[in-house]
Amino acid sequence: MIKNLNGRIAWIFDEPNFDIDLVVGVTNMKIQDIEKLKDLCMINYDLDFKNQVREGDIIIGGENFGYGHPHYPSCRALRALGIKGIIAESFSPGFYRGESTNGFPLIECKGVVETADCWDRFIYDWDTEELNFIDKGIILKSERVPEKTKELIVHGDIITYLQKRRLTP
Amino acid sequence: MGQTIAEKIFSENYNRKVEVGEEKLFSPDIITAYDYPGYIDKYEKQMEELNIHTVKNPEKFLLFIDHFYPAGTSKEQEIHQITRRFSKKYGFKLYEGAGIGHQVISEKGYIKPGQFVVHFDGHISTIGALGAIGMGIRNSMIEAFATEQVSLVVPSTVRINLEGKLLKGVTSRDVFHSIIKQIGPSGCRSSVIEYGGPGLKSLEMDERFTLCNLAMFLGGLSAVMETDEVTHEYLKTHNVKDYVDMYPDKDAEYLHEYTIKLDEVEPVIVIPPTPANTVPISEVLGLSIDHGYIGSCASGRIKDFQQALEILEGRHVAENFRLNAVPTTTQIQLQMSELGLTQKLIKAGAMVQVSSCDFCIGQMGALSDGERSVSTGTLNVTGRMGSSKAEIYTASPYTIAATAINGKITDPRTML
Repeated sequence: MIKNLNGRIAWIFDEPNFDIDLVVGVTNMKIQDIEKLKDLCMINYDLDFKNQVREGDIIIGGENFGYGHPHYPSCRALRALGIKGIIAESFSPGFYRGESTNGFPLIECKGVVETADCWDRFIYDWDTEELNFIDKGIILKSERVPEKTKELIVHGDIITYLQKRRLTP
Repeated sequence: MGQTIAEKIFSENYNRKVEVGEEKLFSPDIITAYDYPGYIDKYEKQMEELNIHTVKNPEKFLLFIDHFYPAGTSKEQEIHQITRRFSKKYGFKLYEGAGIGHQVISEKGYIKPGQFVVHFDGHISTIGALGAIGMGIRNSMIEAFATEQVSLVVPSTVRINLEGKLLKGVTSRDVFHSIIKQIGPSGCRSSVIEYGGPGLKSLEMDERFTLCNLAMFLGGLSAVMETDEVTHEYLKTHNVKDYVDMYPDKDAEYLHEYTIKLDEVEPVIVIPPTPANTVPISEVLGLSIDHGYIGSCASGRIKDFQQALEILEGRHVAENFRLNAVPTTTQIQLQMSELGLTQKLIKAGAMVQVSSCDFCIGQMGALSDGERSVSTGTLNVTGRMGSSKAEIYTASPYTIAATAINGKITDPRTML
């Protein structure tokens, strides 16, 4: 059982093929310090993002979100600021594999860019796989979420998942 | 309903017919990786954390030291030491100094048609040229190391039919980037790209490796090609026996099908800062360039250097232009010497380097602020080859050679 996502839409990247490295900046990929990454997060888009975002918020993405050679620091920074997932029209497969393995909720949902506005409140129900825009009265059905992706979210990371589900006799 | 090549490979791997969309555990025939901080050192720690001290089938694992090679600092040597230690502990075969693993794996005869291979790096799709599927699974590699299986949703297939023959001065590099231009960078998203058709038969194995290597930039999970006489010859030369040919059923179902007429492809350039930006070479003609690079797992094979030399031989690179020629593997480096290519490249002013991944990632031959490079490296994103204030234009070996001679972007067809 996965707890529903429930929060606000903190940002919308509506362009296709968005390179996730841009969230903290492509020149900052070697930075490991999470406080530095939090400071860099989204500064090229909104200098106040760090202060406005709160626990439970999500990001919306366009088609083929995560295209390119995705690295991990950007999503680490987003998670550290409280972002609980990304809902996009579609994901680039390399990005999807990498971040879903980190237990980060990634949901593909057609029509989300057109429907969403910044700071909309929403609930995503993992059982019905429906995205509910509470204030707009609009419900979008997402693509099916693979079982392994759901298990990784439940367990939080690949190591715990392997320990509990694959390596236990 | 018939099956695509990918569906056949995953069905064979699972020991029963599987359908697109089914989520199953598959058993890779080969699990491979290279030395890179945050990867090999992490796997070593994760295996300890999982309390796994032996693996069931160590012969399935292959590791390569091809980054930071040769090591320039003691810290770089440390990652090599970790890779050696990790290999030794679990009994994995390790290749060091043999060149870029994505190519060495085929050269050493490990790859057979029909295999399923995983790596953390998606450029393992290179092996698709031999009718196998190589898939980059990123940080879920620990799943493969720990369980020798990976969870996967059986992917759909996008078919690309090749027709006709390439014209003079045009390469498979131009073909790949033209496909992106035609169908978009997500045109094969989350699918396996299946190349086939009469035009494929006109492409040499080196050109096929290039086409498969870059699959990720079309959104592909991997790429695979029909096998034919060219495949047979390569496999025979590399002592691979006992394999079956790979081809789709006539009634296979594809997510999309596209036809590419090779004789209509023209030289193109990918402009910074993303591999999605393909433009005809005519749009950037005359742009001054400081640096050139022919190499990488995508393009540093005999055919690439032969193409470059069709322009470079008898000429000399422009003053102040730096041209690095980096063979993909040590075996290719040897062949280049035997064929006299090394000598010709040096006479033309190129710097022929030891095989290594480092030129593609700016670890060696780096760019400084304001410089522009033309490159056969895999990627042109900001900061990939050094300074974040440098620009990378990816192109074919012909275009790089012509540009190196003139110091500005030049249509290679004017010099052939």
